[in-house]
Amino acid sequence: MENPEKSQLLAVLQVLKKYNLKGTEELLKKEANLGDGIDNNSLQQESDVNSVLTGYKSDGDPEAYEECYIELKRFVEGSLDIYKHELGTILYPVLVHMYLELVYNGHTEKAIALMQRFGPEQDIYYQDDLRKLALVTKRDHMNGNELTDTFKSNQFIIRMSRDTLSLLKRHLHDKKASVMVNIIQEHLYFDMYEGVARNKAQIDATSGAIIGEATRQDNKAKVLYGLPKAPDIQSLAAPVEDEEESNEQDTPDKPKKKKAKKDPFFSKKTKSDPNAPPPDRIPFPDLKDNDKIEKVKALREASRRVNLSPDVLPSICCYTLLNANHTVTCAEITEDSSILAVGFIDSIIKVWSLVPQKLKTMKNAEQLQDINIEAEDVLVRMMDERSGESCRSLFGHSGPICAISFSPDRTLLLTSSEDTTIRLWSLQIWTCVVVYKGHMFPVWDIKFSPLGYYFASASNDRTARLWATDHYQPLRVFAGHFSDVDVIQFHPNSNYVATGSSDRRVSLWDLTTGNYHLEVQTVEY
Amino acid sequence: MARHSDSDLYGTSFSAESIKVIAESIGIGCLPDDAAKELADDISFRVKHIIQDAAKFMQHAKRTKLMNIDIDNALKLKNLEPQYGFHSNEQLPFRFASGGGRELHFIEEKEVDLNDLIQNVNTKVPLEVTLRSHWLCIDGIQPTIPENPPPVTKEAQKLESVDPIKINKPSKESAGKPTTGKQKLRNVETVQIKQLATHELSVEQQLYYKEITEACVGSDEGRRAEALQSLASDPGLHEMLPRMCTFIIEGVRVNVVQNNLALLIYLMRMVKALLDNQSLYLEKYLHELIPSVTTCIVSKQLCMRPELDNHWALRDFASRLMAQICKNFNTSTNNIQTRVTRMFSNAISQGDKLALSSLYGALEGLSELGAEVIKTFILHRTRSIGARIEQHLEGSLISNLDKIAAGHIKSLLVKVLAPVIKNLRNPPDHLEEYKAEYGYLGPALHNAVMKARFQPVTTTTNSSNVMNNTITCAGTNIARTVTATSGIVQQQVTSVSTPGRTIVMNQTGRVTTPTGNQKIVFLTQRPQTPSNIQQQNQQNNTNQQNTVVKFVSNATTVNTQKLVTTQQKLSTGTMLSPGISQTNQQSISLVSKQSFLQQQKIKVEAMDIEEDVSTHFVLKDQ
Repeated sequence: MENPEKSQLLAVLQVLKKYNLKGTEELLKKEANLGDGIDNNSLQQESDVNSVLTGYKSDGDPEAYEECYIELKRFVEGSLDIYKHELGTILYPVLVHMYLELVYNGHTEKAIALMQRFGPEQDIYYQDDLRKLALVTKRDHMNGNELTDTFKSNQFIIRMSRDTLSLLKRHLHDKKASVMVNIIQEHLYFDMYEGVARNKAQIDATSGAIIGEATRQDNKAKVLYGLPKAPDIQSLAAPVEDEEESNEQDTPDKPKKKKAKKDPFFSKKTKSDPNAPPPDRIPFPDLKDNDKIEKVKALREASRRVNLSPDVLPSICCYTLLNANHTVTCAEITEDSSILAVGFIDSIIKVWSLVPQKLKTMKNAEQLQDINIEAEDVLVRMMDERSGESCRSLFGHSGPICAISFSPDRTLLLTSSEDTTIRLWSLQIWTCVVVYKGHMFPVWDIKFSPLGYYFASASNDRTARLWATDHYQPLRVFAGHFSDVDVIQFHPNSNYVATGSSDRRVSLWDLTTGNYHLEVQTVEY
Repeated sequence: MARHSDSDLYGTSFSAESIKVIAESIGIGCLPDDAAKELADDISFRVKHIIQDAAKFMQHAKRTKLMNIDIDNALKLKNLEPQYGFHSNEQLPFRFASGGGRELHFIEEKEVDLNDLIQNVNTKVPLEVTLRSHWLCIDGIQPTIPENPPPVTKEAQKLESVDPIKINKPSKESAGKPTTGKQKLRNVETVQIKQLATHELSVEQQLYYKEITEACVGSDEGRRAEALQSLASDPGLHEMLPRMCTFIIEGVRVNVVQNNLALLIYLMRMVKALLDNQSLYLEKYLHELIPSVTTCIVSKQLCMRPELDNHWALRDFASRLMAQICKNFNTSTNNIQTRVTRMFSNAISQGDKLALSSLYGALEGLSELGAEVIKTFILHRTRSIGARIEQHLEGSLISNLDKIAAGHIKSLLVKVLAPVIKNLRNPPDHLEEYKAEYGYLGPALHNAVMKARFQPVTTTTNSSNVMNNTITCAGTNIARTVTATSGIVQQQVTSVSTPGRTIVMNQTGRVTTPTGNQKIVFLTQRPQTPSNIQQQNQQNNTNQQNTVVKFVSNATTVNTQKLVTTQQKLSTGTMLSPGISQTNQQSISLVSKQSFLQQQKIKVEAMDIEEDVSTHFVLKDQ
């Protein structure tokens, strides 16, 4: 369990204890697997909790802050080259917290002066946050402000080598600048590691998030990144081939050729990847025959693809939406580029067929009864031939559409909207099938899993959620980001989702456990 | 993201003054300074916060422009009441009614005037979003279709023609070569024997060339319009440009000799289309195009029957083309404008040797080049030209052909000189001075200048006094021309029959522009010149013994007689330019509907005139 999480949990326990809510306390303890042993521990942490709650009360002389910062800067610049960059990483959090302390204690002019002098010289990936921070100039501005709350209630994580850290400690000990020592003790967390100090490029590669770098612990968990072999497809491959052979018996050369081509493709697949998760790690509903055929088709299609090279140049078809004037918010094309779905600001979704096949609707119930279910082309017979249209509109949302995702079999469409709902549409009967309510704020992104059934959403409420199409409530809530979760993507093996957030972190979440593996990256946009 | 300066971190905020002003506007008289300051700070913070959130919505809509709906959504996110202001200016219009022991709330529905709907007063519904697809790239090669950027940019073409040395190797390689194999060949040959490098058109291009050229000179007006549209908009024509130019040049050469007016017009329209194409830079081909265009301006004879055909329109159109060429391509090195001006000017100075039609062309060519050119090159020749056309207009030895030409020259000169003279001379305009300075053309110029001076006044005031002035002015004009020729007498007839309408027109506040639909305007402005002459032609042809006096004196008796003649005119008129007139049926009917509905005979005549005018505009517009 993570350190900041633990302290939060303990803070909650303390509060529960304070208000004498025994039952809840016991339950929470049990669920969090915290033994009684931590009771003492929690007492120790009490001061820590207080510091989290009281925030920035400080009796430091407002005049001293600027000098302190200059002195720290001079120390960083004057240190040896190998330590310089790592030491430099503390400048930004120190500046932020100095600024907040000054603002909190009512020294607005000093705070602004400090920010104007030293803000622009921070690394470029901090500039966005600094600009947001510069909005806060009054104590009551800090009330309920997302950014300052994040800074206040989380320690800024800095990774440092042992040597650098001891150098810093020695300096702080010598100087005895109380302002600096307070800030560093209360708001900075040093994740110490053995080895040589990192250089500028290495630091830049991992820093930039609101709460600093990822700790070593975070990225330690093993990720099963391989693709599992697909037994269902393999078992199906043989019958399909037989079928084909029987179909093409009049041309005896062809099937042989195909078989030769296909065999290595599947045999390569059968070699199990040591990094692949077991195929049953995530439960999926059994595939229908039709899905299997579809999948085999897709695989075959993929195997036919030609790699681009100077000799093999691509062909590109460009689709342009005319008369849209700023109303289009998102668009998505199916994997086989047969259907295009476009979301509009006025909550309409339009679906275009990009191939000569029209978008047909299913026959009504009475007509469906007449169809012979045993027929081979039952899926084709289901559709009403006369209803074909090249463009259809879907109505139902009540806010701008934020994201669209097609199911892998192209029969379902998911949309997320500013109206906080996610809707599942059927592309066979062209109506909304399910409305998923759960997010409290606009849902920025939505993605179907590569195998269908599951889907994940990312929202303005700082959570990402995992859903299954047949459950109207989320299966998992991934909380841990400090700002909007803007984008979400499934791992091809459907075992993980990656989220990107406005706190400029990318997190990888395990679907089975709900744990997260953190990777911090600088995102510049 | 760029590095931000100090000021960017804090940006601007509301000033205490603006807060005070806002406070005053809602009735808080004296807001204390510190309260205003406090409010300003807080409001700035809140507003910036809302904008910050709105930017999120902007980003998620993949836009770079913040729209009011983003602000709305940001407010909604904060659980604030959104601004209804820019959605609709009234709430749902619920009304309350009670009576008979019942209370009712209902939505008040406004009565809709069906007439408004029928007359389509409502604003247009925005167009539906549609999907359009095109190939950006096929096997790595970009097809040259209007949607794609041109293979060679206009700048590159310009650079190549203006300053070929500057072009470095890679950009030259990109200039006009369809296949890689040929490119190698070109590189081997190097720059010195550049003229040997030939462009080979692909099969599609050859097909396109064939189709376009056939359509441009063919008889199908619809296809021609399409072909010209393609020439004017397609970006990939760069490689075919030499052939197109050759086609035009050869076409002009042959058709001038054969006096094939229609084909010359078609070819000039092709030139116009090529000039209009935004992706082409024609500079390299000007040395071929300019002589052809010039031919169409000044050639002595352009049609089989100079007294019948409207070759004046071609000269006008070609002159406008020339002016466009000068405007687009004149540089300090090629001096096109200077050379063209000198060419026309030299032609005029040939004196009596020059045919009248050529003189007209040269004058028209010069006058299209702008007021400065008119002032320098035409104004001082007014006297001599006037003397020359006087012979043809008033002399006893009248050749019909020359008379028409002289009439055209006269009206052209009056039209182009009037604005220039108006600016040159100061208001007290004395007829004698004009006569002394401009000779034969003096009175007409005086008249036109008076009119030009007068026009802005009529549009602003409605005093009847002024109206009377206009009419008398027109009267003098007419009085002068009564003695001239039958063609211009007709002009007089019509204008005499319409003074009452002139007043009505001015009272309704319409500005008398040359392109308006009012007949009186056409008669005094340029576009009507060919038609007048044409009328005259027909009159001379159909009924040689035309009794001019009758027209003026007795309107009622003339009615029937005139109707007959105009009918004939109409038919001949359509015969002259069948292709063009057909396309303009709509505009003709529209115009005839609007003006002169009362009298059948004049209506027919109006149609005749309009028809010609509109053919004129067809040339101009396309």
